[in-house]
Amino acid sequence: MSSFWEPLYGRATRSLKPSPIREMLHLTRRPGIISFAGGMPDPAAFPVDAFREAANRILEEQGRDILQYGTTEGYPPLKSFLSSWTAPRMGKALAEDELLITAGSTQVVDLLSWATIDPGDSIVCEEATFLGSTGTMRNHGASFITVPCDAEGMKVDLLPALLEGAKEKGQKVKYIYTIPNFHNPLGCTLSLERRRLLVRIAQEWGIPILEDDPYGYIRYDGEHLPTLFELDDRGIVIYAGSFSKILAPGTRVGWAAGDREIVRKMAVFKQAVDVCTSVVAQAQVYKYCELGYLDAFLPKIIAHYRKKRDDFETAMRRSLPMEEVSWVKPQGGYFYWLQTPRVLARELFDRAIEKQVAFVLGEPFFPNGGGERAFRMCFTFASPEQTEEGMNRLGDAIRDCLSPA
Amino acid sequence: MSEKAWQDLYSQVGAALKPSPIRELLKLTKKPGMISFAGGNPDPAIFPVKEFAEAAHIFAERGQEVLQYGMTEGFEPLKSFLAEWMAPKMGRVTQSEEMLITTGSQQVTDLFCSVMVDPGDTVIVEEPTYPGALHTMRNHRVRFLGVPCDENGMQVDLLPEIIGKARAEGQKIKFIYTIVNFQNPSGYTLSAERRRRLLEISVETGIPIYEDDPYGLLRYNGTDEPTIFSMDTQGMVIYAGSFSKILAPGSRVGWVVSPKEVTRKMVMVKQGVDMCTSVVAQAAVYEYCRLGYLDSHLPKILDHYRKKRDAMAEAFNRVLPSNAVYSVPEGGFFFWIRLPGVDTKELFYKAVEKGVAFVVGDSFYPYGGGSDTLRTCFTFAQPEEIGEGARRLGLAISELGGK
Repeated sequence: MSSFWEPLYGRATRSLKPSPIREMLHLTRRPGIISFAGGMPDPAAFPVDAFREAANRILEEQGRDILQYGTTEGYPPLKSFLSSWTAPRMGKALAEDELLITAGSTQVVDLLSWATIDPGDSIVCEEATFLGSTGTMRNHGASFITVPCDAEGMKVDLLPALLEGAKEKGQKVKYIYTIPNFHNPLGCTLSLERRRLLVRIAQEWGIPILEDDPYGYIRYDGEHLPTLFELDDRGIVIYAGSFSKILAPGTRVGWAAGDREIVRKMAVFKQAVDVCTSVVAQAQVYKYCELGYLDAFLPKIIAHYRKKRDDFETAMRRSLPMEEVSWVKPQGGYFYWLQTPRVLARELFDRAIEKQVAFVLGEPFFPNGGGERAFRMCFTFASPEQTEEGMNRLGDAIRDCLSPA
Repeated sequence: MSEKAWQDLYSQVGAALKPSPIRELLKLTKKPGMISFAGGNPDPAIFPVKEFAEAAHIFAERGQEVLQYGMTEGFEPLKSFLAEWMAPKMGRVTQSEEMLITTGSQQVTDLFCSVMVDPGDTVIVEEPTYPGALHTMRNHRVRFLGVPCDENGMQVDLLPEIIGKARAEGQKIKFIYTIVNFQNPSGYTLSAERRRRLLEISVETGIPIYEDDPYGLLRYNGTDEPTIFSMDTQGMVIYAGSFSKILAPGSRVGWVVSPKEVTRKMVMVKQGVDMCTSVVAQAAVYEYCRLGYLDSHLPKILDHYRKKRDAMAEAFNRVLPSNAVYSVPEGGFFFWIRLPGVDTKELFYKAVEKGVAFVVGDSFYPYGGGSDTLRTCFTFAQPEEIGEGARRLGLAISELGGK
């Protein structure tokens, strides 16, 4: 049938590509493969019983309400819970019309892109960034202006010149996309000084910031830094949060916080894309929070993953040729970013798969190219035994690349 | 930032976007004592709360699986249940690669438009049609071609000429959108003969059909017509279904069945839209179905709504002026009424004053029209409210000088 449908597709569809990670996941599901690839939580850390209890209770108490269509803006009890729960990080209790519940934080990117991007418009982002987000932006026709990063995150001081250059070329920059905490894939965290500077530059230029913060609450050491949202006094920051990492991704519940003008606009787009986020899922998440489980389980989740990160770090130090790889130890989140100056990641990947261990190549994270000698590993998913064995295999694969038999 | 500053940053669709007029009018109806025939909501009294709560035990049994990220394509057990359960309607057991679970059937419209539509492309729609679909298509900058309807649904005989003319003007027609059963808002059902003819035209002209069928399983009398999907041998039809009306809209679980390559494209778009539909919602819906409640509860829903429909038909028969034009729908949620000589927007304000609300017909036309029409929903109001609401409506009409 392809002869029939092909000419009918929209232009964007012809260049539509499946997410390389999702595609790779098919490969890494093969039996025997130890996967450091997908960025998934450890199901062993899911609070299954608490969630089940919450689900039953809310259905008993509010069944008729939560089976009905909900308001597009979100389930009101969940919104008021979030407003007070996030207040310490947001610097204030969010007003009802500053908050929109979404189908995971992916939808925040989609809705903001609907509201702002015309084909050809530009988005500023870190040189390597979450490819799910750039994929969404690309579907809306965005092109990218990338900013180099180091251990302290985006090199914000380079921004003004980049924005100036874009302006000269007539490019319209619609927003700055950043993952300030425990970056995906780079693992780095934007320093306080750079946060201040970033907000100042965005204010001066009148360019909004999309602060994507799915990992912000999963910090293993050090102190929380203020959110960009808190540092901003002009309503220029849109903050995206998610229950995926602090509760469970299968709920698909996230949120956007921002200036009421843009939140309202995003809500009108949401009417058209899915009417409202599953009220059943929202209400179950709400009840889980309301029963105190969010606060009770978060320290356990953090402790669980801290240990995994430390085991991962130990395994890497033991098994990898240290002179050939470098990384920055992440203070939170899910990921290690490894740089291998003498090894092409693509070549390493093939050898690693032969040895039954998988990671994600660096390249797909770079919207404008790069990352040929880098790759991402997720430390949250594999078991301790898998981590140790997987790292042995990876170390061998790296050595094989350097001295081919 | 100021509103002005945001205006400068909006996309073209973002800047042009207006809140739905229906939602704005509905705000006026949130007064105590108001009887609402406006929104298209199910009656919460018929929600299977106990059964759905029982289904939540799946979180205990498969918690680690259903709390994790799911496949974009959907929760596989739900997909295989649907393929079997829908087989009588679809004409066969459809394959997993043809089906995608979506966040309600609203999402099908968004995904399908993302795959098919470039700004300025044309979509053929019924006049009147579901404004939620128009809203989504408008965001994709669709140009609409309307086809008038009568009691047998879309007047498909007019299509060849409409298509020919549009093509001669250089319009690129991407698909035909039709709500085949108990259409929203008209309540009409496309006759079997017209379904066949529509498919023929689709094959002849090479324009696919988007068969939207959220109400198809809610038939109160008469016999089902075959789906267009089941008649299609060439892969021209995509079919959208939903649990909103047969279980509960708060689940936000719907599905689409389409040729594999189209499904695959929609999956790729969905990855960037919401990754996957809430797995906890999908799993609870699946378990509810697996326990047999979908089959055992559906007849109760049908009885419940059949009575309400009859009550509204009876009340309208009593109170509407003799020149009112409407027919009693065989299923679904809606009555569609034409009141010759009455401006229903004016009537709306009068009716709200009297304590009854409906939706003004104009909202269902892509470029306006139907100024003497209105839609009433019979599923949401309580039985004792239906007669009283109709009485108030009759009063409002006669005060406006309707006969």
